Amino acid sequence: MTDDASNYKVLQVDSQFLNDFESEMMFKIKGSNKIPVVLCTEDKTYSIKSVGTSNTVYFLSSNMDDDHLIVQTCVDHVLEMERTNPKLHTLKYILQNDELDLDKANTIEQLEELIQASSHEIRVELDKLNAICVLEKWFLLAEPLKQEIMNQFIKYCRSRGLDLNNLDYLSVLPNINIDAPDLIVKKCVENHCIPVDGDIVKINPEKYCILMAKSILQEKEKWSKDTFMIKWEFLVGESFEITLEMLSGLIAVDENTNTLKYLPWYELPVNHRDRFEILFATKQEWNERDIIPFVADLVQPGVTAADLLTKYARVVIDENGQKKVNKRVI
Amino acid sequence: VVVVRNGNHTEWFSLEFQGEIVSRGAPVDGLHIGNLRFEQGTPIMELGNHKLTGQIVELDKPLLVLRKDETSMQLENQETSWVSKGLVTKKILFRDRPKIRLNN
Repeated sequence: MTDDASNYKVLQVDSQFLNDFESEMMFKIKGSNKIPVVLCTEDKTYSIKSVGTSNTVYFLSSNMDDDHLIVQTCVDHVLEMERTNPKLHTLKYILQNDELDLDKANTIEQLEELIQASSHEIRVELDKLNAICVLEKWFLLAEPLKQEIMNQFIKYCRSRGLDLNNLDYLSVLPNINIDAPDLIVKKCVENHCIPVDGDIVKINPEKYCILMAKSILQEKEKWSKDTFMIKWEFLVGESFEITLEMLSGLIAVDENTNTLKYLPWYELPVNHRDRFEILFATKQEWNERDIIPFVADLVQPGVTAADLLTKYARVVIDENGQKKVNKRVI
Repeated sequence: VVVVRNGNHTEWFSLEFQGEIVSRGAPVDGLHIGNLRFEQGTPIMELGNHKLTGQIVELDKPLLVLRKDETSMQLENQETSWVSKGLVTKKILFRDRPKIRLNN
């Protein structure tokens, strides 16, 4: 044997991983004794576990037709990998930066070191959270600040009769008076716009309406559905069409009392059982299509939303053929 | 930990024995373990005065052999990186009890 076994690791792989490795030329293993170890390619995350063997297994680098076969190493365990969900739930806490301090913010490379997820998965989550990037550092702006920025922006545009679907946003920005760095304000506005052509943008209707809805929802725990809709419509103005479907995964609607409650999926527990406890404490019975957005982030390769509902809830079909989801009685 | 692909993967293979092979005092490095030959495609291993008959098994999932990168091991204050050395798609498995070899 030519080499110390501690210099070697043996990883059981599949064809998809090999293809990725062939094109990407590298992967990362992250974790420690306290944090579960994961393997990350450019866009996938795998859990790793060590599986021991009582057999003696020699690994040889030479060709089977060679006269002398040299044992390179002997290992007593193999690392098995399995595709898993990235561990993204801490990302929003890392991104929170109320002082807007660039020194405290992280670059994408630093985030990759901190988060048990692939680069692509982190970027997708940054987009989902509406994080903004300023000088390569990532922030999650506080909701009140975003609301204030966009409120002032839209108000100014309307006061000047500007077309919200065809805006030279850079010419509007100097007229916004917010107690925040100009670059932050600019990035926040860009985050809520869709590029049209060069510096011409249009307001992203969905992002803007959701932002305004949140500003109302956060005022109190429960709203009458009708009152909320009136307030929301007034706040966003005539240019935008609002529907409750936009707030899927953010509100729980109680049809019996005609009320709704702010319940953003990203603030719910990561633990599956705890998540479902809270959902059923909020509402005893859900339509399947309404509850799925609240558990979509728990879905992973091999575990569908339907699997989660089967395991942690009780699904029945009502007289209208609609799937209803109730708490599982143990 | 970063693992880097080291060119095209050379094919490695593995020998798997049930139980343990021990050296009686002699240093393991450079030790001649035994002779491996094939009789009509069947692997035969001669270990000391034991003869083992094995079989070639195609692995369901290949094994990627990684080794610490020697250059990164020598640099201070730098996390060790790893390189891929070879891909194992088959193994020779010796499952049966060894037979005693009789000298001719």
